[in-house]
Amino acid sequence: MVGIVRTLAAVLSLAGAPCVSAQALAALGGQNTVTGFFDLRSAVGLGSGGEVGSSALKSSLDNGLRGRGRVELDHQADGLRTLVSADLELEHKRMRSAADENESTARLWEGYVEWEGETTSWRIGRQVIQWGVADEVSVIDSFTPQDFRSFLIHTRFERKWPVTAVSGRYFLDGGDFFEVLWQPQFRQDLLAQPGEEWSLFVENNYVRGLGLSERSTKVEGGPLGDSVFAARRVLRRDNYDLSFNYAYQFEQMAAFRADIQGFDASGRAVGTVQPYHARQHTTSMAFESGRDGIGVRGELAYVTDAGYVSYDMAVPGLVERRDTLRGVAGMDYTFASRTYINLQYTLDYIRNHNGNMQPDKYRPSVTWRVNVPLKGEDLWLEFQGREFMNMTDRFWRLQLRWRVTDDWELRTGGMHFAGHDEGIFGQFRDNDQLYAGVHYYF
Amino acid sequence: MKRLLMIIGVLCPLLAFAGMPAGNLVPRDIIERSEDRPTGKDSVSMLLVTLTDKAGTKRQRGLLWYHLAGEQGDLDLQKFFYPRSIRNIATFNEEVRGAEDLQYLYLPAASRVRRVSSKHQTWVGSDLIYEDLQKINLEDWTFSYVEQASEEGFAVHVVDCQAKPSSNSAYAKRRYYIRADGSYFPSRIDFFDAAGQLIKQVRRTEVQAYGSALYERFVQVNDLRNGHQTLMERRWVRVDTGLPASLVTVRQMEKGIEHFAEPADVQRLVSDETSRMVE
Repeated sequence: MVGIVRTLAAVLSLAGAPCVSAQALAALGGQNTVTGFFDLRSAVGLGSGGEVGSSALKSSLDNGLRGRGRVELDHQADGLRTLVSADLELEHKRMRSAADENESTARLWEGYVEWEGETTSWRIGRQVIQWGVADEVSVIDSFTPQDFRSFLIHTRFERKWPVTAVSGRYFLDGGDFFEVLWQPQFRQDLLAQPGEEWSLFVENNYVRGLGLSERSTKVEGGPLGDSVFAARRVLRRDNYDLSFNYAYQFEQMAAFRADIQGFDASGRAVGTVQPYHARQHTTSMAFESGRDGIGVRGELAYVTDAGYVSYDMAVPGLVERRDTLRGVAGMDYTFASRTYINLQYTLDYIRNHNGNMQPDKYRPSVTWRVNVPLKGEDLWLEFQGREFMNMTDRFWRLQLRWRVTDDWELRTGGMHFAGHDEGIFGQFRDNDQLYAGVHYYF
Repeated sequence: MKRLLMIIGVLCPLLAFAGMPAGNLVPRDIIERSEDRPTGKDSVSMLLVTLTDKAGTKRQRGLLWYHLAGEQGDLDLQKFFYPRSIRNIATFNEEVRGAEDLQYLYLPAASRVRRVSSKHQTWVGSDLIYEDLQKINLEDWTFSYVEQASEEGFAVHVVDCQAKPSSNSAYAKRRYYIRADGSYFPSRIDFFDAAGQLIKQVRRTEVQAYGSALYERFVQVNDLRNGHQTLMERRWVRVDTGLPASLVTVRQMEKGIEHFAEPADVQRLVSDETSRMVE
């Protein structure tokens, strides 16, 4: 623990000397900037006692401490921009009376070269891709990975993971542009390992419950091999912004194909489970508009071959594939200049649905975010959540955010999950937690 | 009797124009001329913003403001370079004549340009709201001349603007104090809510001419509801520099401040100002 704090302090001291770093880098020529952030977060798990919707506390508390620092070097010379950023992440946790775990990871975050022409721009290298207009849930921004190892602890934008890709934009008049993206190799969402705090129920069930050994993840073949292609056309008009999007991608969340050979003497299953990513086409559109101070934003996507768990034992791998229509639409409004309300309705419609499939044919849900200033622009109360309407499946987050200075921010709050094992949030109903953290910008 | 008729004949026109400014300008024209006053074909300014809350706690912001006058309407891009927590945030305003302006916000953390839907939102934590960055849409307001007065040593036209329901304004009324020296420079604007309460005041001081364009050095915004204050100091302004149109676009919002190259010495100026603010 002391080591973690020392290392984080070292990161912080490095952060505190950006000018020195910038001067040293100036020798390289061009314009250099060093910037980044440092984030320290500590959480205490409360659990829910395992009952759907229950708020009973667990008898023992989990606790953990996570620090993350990032340094970004941005170099500009002769129309070419080079950006390199690196992350250092340190984690300490104690789970339900198990032994302490310490992890540290240093990695390249983004690293790309960007060329800007009069009407075109190209970016080559490791980069974060963000598409779509919806705030809390996007049905378009699904062809590059997110980091779900801590599930929803971080915001959607913080969860987005960089990929190696080539992206280019062709700019038209009035802010319109056309964009293409090619990712030579598919990268899946980052998920917690079986048995970890935020591991998926379905994976836990196969690997820990049935005792099947997990094989390495596969992707389905196709005309573009393992690569992902996406394109979009963005239009900006006086009354609305509109985009038409297409992605030839892989399903980000792996499906699990169980291959059970038989059962041993103790009754445990013998066999393997194969995680795999199916090929998908996603054709979508997004719009943004505003009228009378109310922002209206929405996305609509038609996704081919989405995977769903089936209870029909005759279905190979217990996964059915269906085309699905996914939509999200909502409004945002600001009261008295500062209180921000965002409400979105999402709906999944599964084509050719049958009664043996685990999800319902329609999966409506509501997401919301309310930000209320308590003291000027410095202290904010934020309430965010998502609630499925066809089953108990719930996520709430209540957070207090205090901007102590322009560079330091304190965050504290709690997260609550409720629902059944097969629910997106229900599977984490034992993971209710209280947390506190500090964020420093440099 | 003839004499009496002559007096009435002289007085009637005067009475009819009582409450009207000199030169037979109707109040709407005064506002229109003020909104369309010359600001140069283009300009680049550096602004230092000091936010002060009721307790006296101060926060600073630094930004570059790019302005381009166009036939279709004016374009304005604001790029923040200080503090680090909001570095590279950008806002953009495109004037749409006869309708609400188009406004965008770029958040580097989300790597996304977002359309600003509510002009009632505060502008980057200041006492200004997005509506304050827009020109007034004349069709959405009714105008009345209040009086001629004096403001900061200058004679001013005092004009009230009453919001029509179509305005969707955050304010029920604005009272403009517009210089009567022919420059139509708005020295002061008072903002009122639906109950007639004064809720906000904007004052512009130390006005200087740059060719035909007038730019103030200080803009002070007082929110009377919470005692919060925003002071914007124009550290420098360069007018009619031949700013390329490509630098005042939505696309430009996404570029980091370190990639701005207009004017040529902007990086040094940003660096110097940042160092000064850190101290």
